[in-house]
Amino acid sequence: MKLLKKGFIKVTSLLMIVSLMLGLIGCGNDNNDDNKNNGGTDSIVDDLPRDENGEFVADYLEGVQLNVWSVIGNPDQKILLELIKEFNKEYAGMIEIKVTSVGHYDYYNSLDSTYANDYGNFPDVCIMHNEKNIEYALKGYFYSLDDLITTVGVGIDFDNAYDNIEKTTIHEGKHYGIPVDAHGYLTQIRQDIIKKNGLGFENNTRFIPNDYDEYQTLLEGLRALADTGELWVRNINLDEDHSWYQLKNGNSKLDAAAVVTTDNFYPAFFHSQESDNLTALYVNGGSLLDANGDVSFHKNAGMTQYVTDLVDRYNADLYGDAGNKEAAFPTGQIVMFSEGPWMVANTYDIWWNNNQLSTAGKLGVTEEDASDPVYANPYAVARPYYMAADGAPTETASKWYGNGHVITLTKKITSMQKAAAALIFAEWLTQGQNEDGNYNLIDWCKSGHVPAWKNVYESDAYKEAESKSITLQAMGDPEQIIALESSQYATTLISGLTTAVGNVSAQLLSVDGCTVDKAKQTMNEIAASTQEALNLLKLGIK
Amino acid sequence: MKKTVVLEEYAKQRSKRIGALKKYGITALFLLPYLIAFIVFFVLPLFYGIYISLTNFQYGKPGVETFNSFLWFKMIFDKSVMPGVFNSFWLSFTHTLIFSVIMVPIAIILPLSLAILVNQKPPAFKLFRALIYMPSIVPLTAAGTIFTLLFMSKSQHGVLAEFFGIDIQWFIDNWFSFDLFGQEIEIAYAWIPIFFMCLWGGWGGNFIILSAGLQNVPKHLYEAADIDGCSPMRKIMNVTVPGIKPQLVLCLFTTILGYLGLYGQNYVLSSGGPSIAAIASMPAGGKTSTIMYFIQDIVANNLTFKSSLYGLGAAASLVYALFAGVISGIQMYLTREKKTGTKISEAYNKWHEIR
Repeated sequence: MKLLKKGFIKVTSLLMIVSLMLGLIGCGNDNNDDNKNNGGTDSIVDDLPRDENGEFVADYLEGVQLNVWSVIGNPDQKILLELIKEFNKEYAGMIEIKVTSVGHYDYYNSLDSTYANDYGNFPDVCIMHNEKNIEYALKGYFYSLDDLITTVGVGIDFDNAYDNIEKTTIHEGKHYGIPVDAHGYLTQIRQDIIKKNGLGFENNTRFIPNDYDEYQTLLEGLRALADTGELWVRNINLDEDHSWYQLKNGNSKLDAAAVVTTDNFYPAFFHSQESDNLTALYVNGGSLLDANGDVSFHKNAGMTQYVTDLVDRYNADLYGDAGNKEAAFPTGQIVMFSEGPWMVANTYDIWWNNNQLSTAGKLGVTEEDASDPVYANPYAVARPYYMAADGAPTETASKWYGNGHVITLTKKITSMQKAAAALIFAEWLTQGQNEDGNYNLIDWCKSGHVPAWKNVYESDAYKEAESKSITLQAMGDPEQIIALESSQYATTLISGLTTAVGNVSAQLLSVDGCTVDKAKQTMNEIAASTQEALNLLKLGIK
Repeated sequence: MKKTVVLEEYAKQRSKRIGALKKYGITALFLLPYLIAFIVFFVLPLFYGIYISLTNFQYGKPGVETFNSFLWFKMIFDKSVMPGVFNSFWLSFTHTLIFSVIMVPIAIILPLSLAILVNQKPPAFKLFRALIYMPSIVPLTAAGTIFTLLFMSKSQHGVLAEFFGIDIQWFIDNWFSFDLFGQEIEIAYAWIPIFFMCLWGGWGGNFIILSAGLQNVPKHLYEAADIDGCSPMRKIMNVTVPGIKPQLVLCLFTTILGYLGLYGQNYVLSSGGPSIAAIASMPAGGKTSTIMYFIQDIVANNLTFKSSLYGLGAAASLVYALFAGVISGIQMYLTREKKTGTKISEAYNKWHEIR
């Protein structure tokens, strides 16, 4: 009996050890090839259909399916899907694109998880943010594209791309993505309130500030009038009372929550956006990393001033935590806020330049309101305003930060036919033209992006589209955009910068408040912590 | 040479073998599903975790890792290796420990008091019982939304700010600080909503277990206590509490482990923040970060950490598991069934009978 017991224990133990060993061997996947981290294309089998001269002929492609993951969400997702539908129609029988839209917050997590645990479902092509391009390329997810473009012979000439946007796709001289577009966050402005209160520029005939000083003057002017209760505001929400009232009198026709008072009014909504912080850094000639690869955002004088300005210049009276910005803006509780350009044309313009405001005699709209182009179209947008500190380089002082989208080819592609199909799609979207000779990319740009390609931006069709779009007008010339410096640690660096600014902003809201010295100390401490995080990551990757 | 086997002996051995096979075979058969699950979901991950903690394992690239000379453990235990990691780990550890020390007694005593009160069967006691248990069925994220709405700032129309005029930035402001072994510990106001959410969502489970235990306390003991002239408090201390000791031990065990692993409430309410500038970019670099937050920041929340620091996450998990094991062990030892008086002789008789 004892022997049997011992035998049972032995068998059980053996079973556990064998399982353990099998598990250790079996854990993981089959995607850890040597070719992974160098972007090399050795693993692609050349199965291109060729003519008698050995040249690849795209028309010979047959039934190539591409699994594409897109990070683009609504409202502009709809436009991308329409374009892809058009592509599939044009290349019917040859190439078919199947798009999976993955939300911004899940995209990179899903990419990592699928790569690690479900490689069979990893996409062939990624449409993703350009600031993540090199970080994910160096994880070994993407091919470098230069040789592939030459082999396939598609008409993608990077000389036509804007260098300032294209740079996000380059690592050690190799391209890991094809740039599509760029965009920065825009400032949304209630120009009707500015005009009504006589705070406009050039004798109250221009209501969008041209530079940082004008912007600051406007913030302070709005605050001063609000403090005495003399500020005029009105509600521009659909179906609500649009009549003007001064803060000290209130508007009895509105619900209590929609009435603006001296206490709940703020000239601008405080919302620390990473793009705002990066703009402040780059216009002042700063960088996230210095030449030695060390964290350097805190070393830039202009950036430091931007953070200390939060304490002693903007202060909590000018920028306020006014709850929901999209609820506060139309009521007049805030006059300005920052948001992505994709929201402007398809959403905000429709909401807040509604035709009720140009219809006199209803909902408190007077003849004067209805006939005035500013009162009838109170919503406007402009590029964000940042002060280039003294000594800021002139070549960057008037620019702004913008990110964008790129198309990448993943290591899942092992057939040259697929690679060719993916490049044909990238070419079609970025450089392809429709029957009228207009670039397909223009249709995409209408949803709130400037093209990453010079020939597209300079085309007549784009200029025409720009003249009709307040978004494209506000964003202007792609040359003015400064894209992120290419880095393996982009996410950690951006997070460090955003945490630094966010931490100072949070201190301003706290009971203890914040001082200039404390703000500087906070930024230095967070920069040091970010540097340590980089050191840690480098140790982990060794 | 042929071996001669006596028929009787053969029959005896065969019968023995069949008997053993029946006895242990059936046992093995019943054990097998559990054993497989135990190996696959516990033993295997445990050993794999130990292996990962000793290497520079990279998520998504298994098989290329090499032994890294206990680097992750050195980071946790030696400040000079990576001060940020050391500080954030031990700070989150301290947060966890302090919160557990405060929370565990309350999370036991309050449900116990409620269970005793309801056990008196006052009018509508069934309603009270249902109401007390109800928060336990609210999902964590929904409870998080409720408590966020309660504690939002005045400008965001938080309920406490609107109705009671309490204008505190609960998720930003620092409450107080103190010095612990030369390290300044900042306690954020955010711990208050976390505390209430833990209490509100957690009391129902313990309440139900203790209520069930109270049903089984022999009534004659209360009668005897009454005859002896015991006060109500004396009855609780000398009859009720000993009578539900097994349930109390169970509650204590699960509650201690629960709060040592605190994560969800902090995640949904404060995201581990507000951040501490000096360790803001480290895992768990916030004033409400816990040890579980440290691990989760590495293996789930931060994709960059997840890619290359999985080993650190595994090492932290092992340290946490060891700590939780020691605490639970101490608790089990202190609350063990002590075989004193007649229990020793009873146990001996039982053993003797079986023998």
